[in-house]
This record gives sequence, C-alpha cells and structure tokens, in this order.
Amino acid sequence: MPFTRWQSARRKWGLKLILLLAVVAGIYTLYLDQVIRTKFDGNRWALPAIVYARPLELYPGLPLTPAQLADELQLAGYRQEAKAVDGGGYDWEGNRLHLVTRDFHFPEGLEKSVDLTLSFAGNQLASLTLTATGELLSGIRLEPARIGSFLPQNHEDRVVLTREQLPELWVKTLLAVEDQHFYSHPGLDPLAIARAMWVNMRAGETVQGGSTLTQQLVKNLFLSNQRTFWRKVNEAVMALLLELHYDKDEILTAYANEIFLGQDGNRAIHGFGLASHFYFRRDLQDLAPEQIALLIGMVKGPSFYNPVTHPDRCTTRRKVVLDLMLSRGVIDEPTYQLAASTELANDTMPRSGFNRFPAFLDLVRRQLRQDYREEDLTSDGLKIFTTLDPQVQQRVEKELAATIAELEKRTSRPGLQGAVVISSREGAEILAVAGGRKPLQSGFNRALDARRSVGSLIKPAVYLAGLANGYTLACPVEDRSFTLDNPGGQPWTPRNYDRQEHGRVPLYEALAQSYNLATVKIGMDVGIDKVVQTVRDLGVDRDFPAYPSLLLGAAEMTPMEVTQMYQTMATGGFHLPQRAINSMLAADNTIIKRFGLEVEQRFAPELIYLLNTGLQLVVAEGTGQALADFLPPAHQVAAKTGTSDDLRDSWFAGFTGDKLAVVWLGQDDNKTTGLTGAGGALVVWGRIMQGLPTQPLELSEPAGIEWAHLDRQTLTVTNSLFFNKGKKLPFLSGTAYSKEPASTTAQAPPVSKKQGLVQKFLNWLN
Amino acid sequence: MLTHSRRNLITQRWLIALIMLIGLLGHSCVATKNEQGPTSLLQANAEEALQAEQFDRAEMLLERAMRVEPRNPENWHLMGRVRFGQHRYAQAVQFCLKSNSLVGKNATLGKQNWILIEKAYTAMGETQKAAEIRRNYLERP
Repeated sequence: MPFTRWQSARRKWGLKLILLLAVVAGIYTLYLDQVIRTKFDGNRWALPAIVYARPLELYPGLPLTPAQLADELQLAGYRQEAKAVDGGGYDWEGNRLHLVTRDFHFPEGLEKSVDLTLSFAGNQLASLTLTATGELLSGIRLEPARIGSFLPQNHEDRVVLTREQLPELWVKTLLAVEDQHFYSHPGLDPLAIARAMWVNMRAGETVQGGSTLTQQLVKNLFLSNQRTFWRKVNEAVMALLLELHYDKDEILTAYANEIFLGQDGNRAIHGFGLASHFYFRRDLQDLAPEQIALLIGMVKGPSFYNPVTHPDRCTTRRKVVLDLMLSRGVIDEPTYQLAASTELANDTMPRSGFNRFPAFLDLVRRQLRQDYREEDLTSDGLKIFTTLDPQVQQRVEKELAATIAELEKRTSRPGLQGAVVISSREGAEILAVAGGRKPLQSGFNRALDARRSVGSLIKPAVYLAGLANGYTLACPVEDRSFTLDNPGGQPWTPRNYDRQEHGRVPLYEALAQSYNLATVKIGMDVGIDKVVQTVRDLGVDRDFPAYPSLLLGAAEMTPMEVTQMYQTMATGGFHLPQRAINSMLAADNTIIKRFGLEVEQRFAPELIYLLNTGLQLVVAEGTGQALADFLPPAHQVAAKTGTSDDLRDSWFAGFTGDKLAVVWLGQDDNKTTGLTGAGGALVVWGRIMQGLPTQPLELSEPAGIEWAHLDRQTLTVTNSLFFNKGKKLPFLSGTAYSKEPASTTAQAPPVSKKQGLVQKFLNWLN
Repeated sequence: MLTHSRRNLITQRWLIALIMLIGLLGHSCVATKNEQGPTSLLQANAEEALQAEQFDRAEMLLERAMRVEPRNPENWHLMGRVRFGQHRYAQAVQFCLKSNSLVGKNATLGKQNWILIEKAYTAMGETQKAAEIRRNYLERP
C-alpha cells in the first residue's frame, strides 16, 4: 500500500536521521571531552612570572627610619593591625615595631615565618629580637615586595592554591551560597534548575541561577558569556563530562583558582588566592568570616560588587551571604553578629604594587629575553628576584618629576624630560631606573634607549688615558686656543664653555673646571684611539668614531651606558657587568638560573685612585661645587658634570661611598634645555641623594701612591717635612717630581713600592 | 689652600698622634673593641658551606653579605674561594685582586689572597705567573 510504504519509508529515514544525529552528537561529545581533558590534564593555567624587589636586609645599625620601614612593609603587602598575629601583619608599640613575617621561598630555600620586635634609635634600626624569647638577632631579611608580573596574553593573574589550602569555612560558605548539593549531583542539579525557573518566572526576570559550581567552572573555562540555548547545552554536556573524569575536590580546587574576581588596571584578578592578597593582603587561610563572605559575594558580579568602587552594594551583598551562612549553619550567632558589624572600609584597601616601576621591569624583561622566549616568561610561573630597591626607586621618581617641573618654570622651556639610573657602588646592582619624568608611563625608556651626546662626562676617560700615559694630577697643561686640521672636513677650533683661555693649569684643575682646550691637548697627545680604548675598557664596549670632537663628548651614550662607564671608576678599576636580576626560580621553587657576580680588573688601582681624587676635586672646588647645597662636603663625592653643545643635554654622574647615580635631562626633540650639567642634572642628583641613606666616599689608597704638594703659583711639586705649601695631591710612586709629562709612552705603574714607615706617618699627619 | 674640613682633619690627626704618644709612654695601649660586623654570621655560614663544598650556597650567602658590607675584603676573599671551588680559577684570581684592593692594613688577609691567586694560576697551568706571585708576594721576608 502506497500510504503504508510512504509511512515505512518515512520511519526508515527518520531512524537514519536520528542515527545520524546521534553519531554527530556522539562525535561532538567526544570532541568536547577532548577539549576538557586537554585543558585539565595539561597545565591548566598560564602562570605569569612574578618579579620581586630585593629583600630588605635588617640588622642593627641599618640606616632606616620607622616611616621608611612602614613604607617597605606596605609595598611588600603587609597589613598594619591593632595586634599582629598572623604572617604579614605588623603593629606599632610606641617606637617599637612588632612584625610577623610570612613563610617565603628564597633562592636559598624556605624561610619560615618569625615573630619579631624591632626598635629604633633616631634614624637607625637599633635592635632585632625574637618576640617570644627576647633573643637578639644579628640580622634577618624580609620577604621581598612583589613589584610586577609578566602576564600571559590574556592578562590573567592568579595564585594557584591546592585543595589543602582551601579553608573549610570558605568551602562551606561557597557551597551554601552557590551550590548546596555540590557533593551529590552529577554536574547538573535539576532541583536547583527547577527552583530557579520557578523563582524567575514569578519575578518576571532572571533573579536566581540554577548553575552548579561545575557548570560555572565550565562556563568560565571554555565558554562565552552569551545567554544562548546552545551555550547552555554545551555547558550541561561539558559539566557532566567533567564530573565523569575528575573528582569533586579537583573540580572545587579548579573553581577556586579560575573564577574572575576583579580588575587591576589591565590585570585580571583570577582565583581566590590572588583575590585574597589583592583585597585583604592576607592568605585565604587567614581570612575572617566577613572577608570570606565578601569574596564569595563578589562571584556574582566582581565589578558590580567591588568593595572599593561600590562599598554600599558590596556591604549589602556581604550581608546576604552572611545571612545565608547563619541560616545554613556555617557560622553561629555570635560569629555572625561580629562579622556583620565589622566595617568594610577597615579591611579593604587594595594597593597595587604591580608594574609600578615599568622602566625597571623593562630592563628586567630585556635581560631575560636574551635567554628566554616570551611565552616561557608569561606562562611558567617563574619567580624573578631582582635588585630593585623600592626606597631608592620611589625617591628617584619623586625628585625627578618635581625637579623637572621646577626647572621648566625657571627656564620657561616646557617639555623637559629626564632619566636616572642608580646602582650599588661595589656590586653594580641596579637599584633604580627612571625612564622619563612620568614613572608610570611605560613608553620610551630613556634610561635604556636615549643615546645622547655625553659632553664632558667623557673627560674622565681622557684624563684616565692621560694618567696611564705619563701625566700626573699636577702636570701643567696649556689651556690655550688652537685649531686642528680635520682631514676631509672644516678645521676644528674647540672653545671653553666660558669662551676664555686659562693658560698653564695643573691637570687636576683642568678636570675639576672642565676646561675643554686643556682636555683636547691631553687627548690629542695621548692619542684618540687610546681614549676610545679607555672608554671600552671602562665598559662601553662598542665602536666610537675616533674624531677629535670625541674628546669633548660628541660620542652618544645612553644613561645606562654612562652608568656602566662610571661603575668601573667607582669600583676602583674593576669591571662588573651591571645586574638587575639575581636569580630565577621555577614554579616549584627550584633554581633555574643564577646571575652571579663577575669581576675583572681593567685598570691599575693606583690610576683609578688618582682619577677618583680628581673627580672629588670636581665637587670640592670645580664645576660640581653646587652639590654642597645638598650633601655635606665630608661626603667627598666624586662626580662629573656634562653639558652638550647648545645646552641640549644636561648630565651629572657620580658616586658616594655606596651608590652610583647618573642623571640626564634633555628634550626628546633635541632642542636646547637652557641648562648646564650643574644647573640641571646636578640638582636632580643632589635632591635624590639628599633623601637617601648614603655613605661618604672613602677611597682606599693602594700601595703604589706617594703624596706631594703642588704650589699653584709656580706649578712646582715639593714635599718637605714641615714647610709644605699648596695643594696636597697623590702621585704614582716615583712620579711626583717629574716636571713634564713623561711622554706618551706608557709606563706601567709600580704596584707595590713601599714607602718608609716614617714617610707614611708624616703623610698621614699632613 | 687647605679647605676647612681638611684643616680639621689634620688637627684631628695631630691630636690622635699626641694621644697615642701619651698612651705609649704610659705603657698602655688603646684597646680596640672587637665588634662583630652585621655580616659575620653570614660569613660564618658561608665558611661552613665552603667546608662542606656547597659552593652555590656559599655564593648566595656571600652575595647577601656583600650587599650589606660591600667593601669588606673578607667577603671578596671568600668569593674567591667559592670560585676556586667551582673551578673558575680566573675569576678566583679576580675576586682576590678585588679583595686586595680593599684590604688596607690587613696584611694577613692580603697574604691569603696572594696564596689563593698563586694556587689559581697553578691550577690554570700558568706556572710562570704562579712563580712570579710566589717571588713577589709570598717568599719575601
């Protein structure tokens, strides 16, 4: 029968269609299954690299004010409390600080939390004691501040917790609020769905969701936020599949680590571990009930219930969660009363230390890129221990911005820019970097990328080459005008800054007063190639065109390169590659890379001693005298001013007993600044150092040095027992009384010639 | 022209000389307080690590010590010993030279540096240099 045949054919095709759909659905389910397992079995999250500042070493005698320490603690994520009990808290008892450190994995291993009491005497740390026993400690270090992170492409940041690290109160609250039947349903909760549908129908809008934690996790991990039918189907299937493969605790832990809980600039705060640090400066385990209630309340809408921007909404939401906690027996009545009455403002004060120092982080990133791929840096959870000193960095940023603003007013030339690099004098560790006047602007990093004419900052290299080739600090040099033939170009007639000639001057004075004519004379006598080689030996290892104008600083360098050059002088002639990173740990705290100290002697200590004495005279009586407005003369700073043609660049580079700093000021478009080195960069340098604990510069006198007196009038050197006249200067042993430079043939300085005991004593007295 | 601070320094030194003279005449000597520096514990731990041939650990301890007392020649000498233990002999020489540049009047430490430098040159097979060091710094009366 046709009708029956048609019916049977329809049934046949229908069956085939159902079969086909079942196959497609099956394949699709297998595909979803694969997606889930790939994500869950591999590295679930790309973990950003965390960048740390240097740890603060605390020891009796350390120059540190209570305010500075409080600032360090805030940056390191510590909380000031009425009475500190848990790790990461501190309180003041008068002028004594009580502090509980956190467990921390240093490259050397885990250091456990300790309960300490610190006392201060004036601007110094006076003593460190263990609070419980009163035992005096000789030193301890704080865990370092987290200053930044290299985020994955999705900008997600998180601190991954294990199931054991999830406190029971948190688990109970989460289940009470989000999914009461979590431990009994198979991924979907039909009862919850029915209830939600009923409530929503009655309300006429969506007021309650029926999603299980598993569904929420699936949505966050794999799906979009769109409310479509297909997304709901996918979500349900994937939730069932997830439950099929993984146990409840694993799903709960993944939920705790995945969920989005706020935004900090371009950084997305994911997971309860990081959210707890971000909003409360505490580990999740240390949170009070009302803090747990707040975070769990935020799951519903992290921006909408943000405690900082919407405290009222947040408080209301927290109350809803606390009510649920009470009604479902998670907390008792007294706990509820206490929690509900706690002010919100007291415990929520996120202060982001993240990527606060972009210029320094830029340097760190560049150093790492030499050895690592970008994705390794942004996905493997590396821990990078750097040399940044937050106290120095903050001072640099503040003073650079403020001084530039003042200088602009004074010169009426807007658009002034600047850069600063500060390193430790002996260790060559970079303590601070400013790449521009606005520290949070991460664009052009002038400290690393602005190659500018260094002006007179080059002169120490010229004088060092001179001293290595027979000149002494007392040698008379002609500071008179002359013209040099310039093959293939215009003849060159250098001039002094004051357009004057100064006649016959001793070498140290030519350096101290930065006389151009005398400098070119010395440089031409020694040979430009030797000066270039000296610059390279000092650490700027690249080619410079060997033109006479190089002697007056036509060479272009970045502030970082200048720092490297002066570092070799500051260390007494030893070259140390500058370091911004000390070590790197993998996510499991094993060391994967160390950036150890390397030292290489490049110059005889005697030569550097003479040069550095000359650089001290720059500040004591030369172009750097204005530094006395900021630091007492007893600091005996060694430094040099630098000014390029038409006042386009203002430089100051120098060192104290413990810090080396280089400051550059200029316009990005290379227009004139209207500032000399002394009128601009020196002021920034002085103001930065003025506010930092610095040590006076004491040069260690090598064995091969003798002292004699220079009569400035006659330019003769004498050394009698009692009737000395003029300036006392150091010389290489045996060179004090040679009247003229001992020609350009270099004599290696005698290294260990011993002075008689009596002569040494008399020298010391004078 | 002597600066004001320089003149003060000279006066101070004359006064110190006078006090020392009086002290000598009275057959007494100025007692020096044997204070332990802030890094003495780190140095002691580094020394232990060196003895146990844990050179990387010693290095990290010393880097901490050097951050606190960067001009303490003992730290640089110990770093020389670390590098020697790591068979990085050229660096061992350099660290000892650096230590010597800061050693001042501590002749004992100065000599220890030269001994290590000599050993490092010998280990590198640079026998001539080693002999030179012995002749100039170690065999002199």
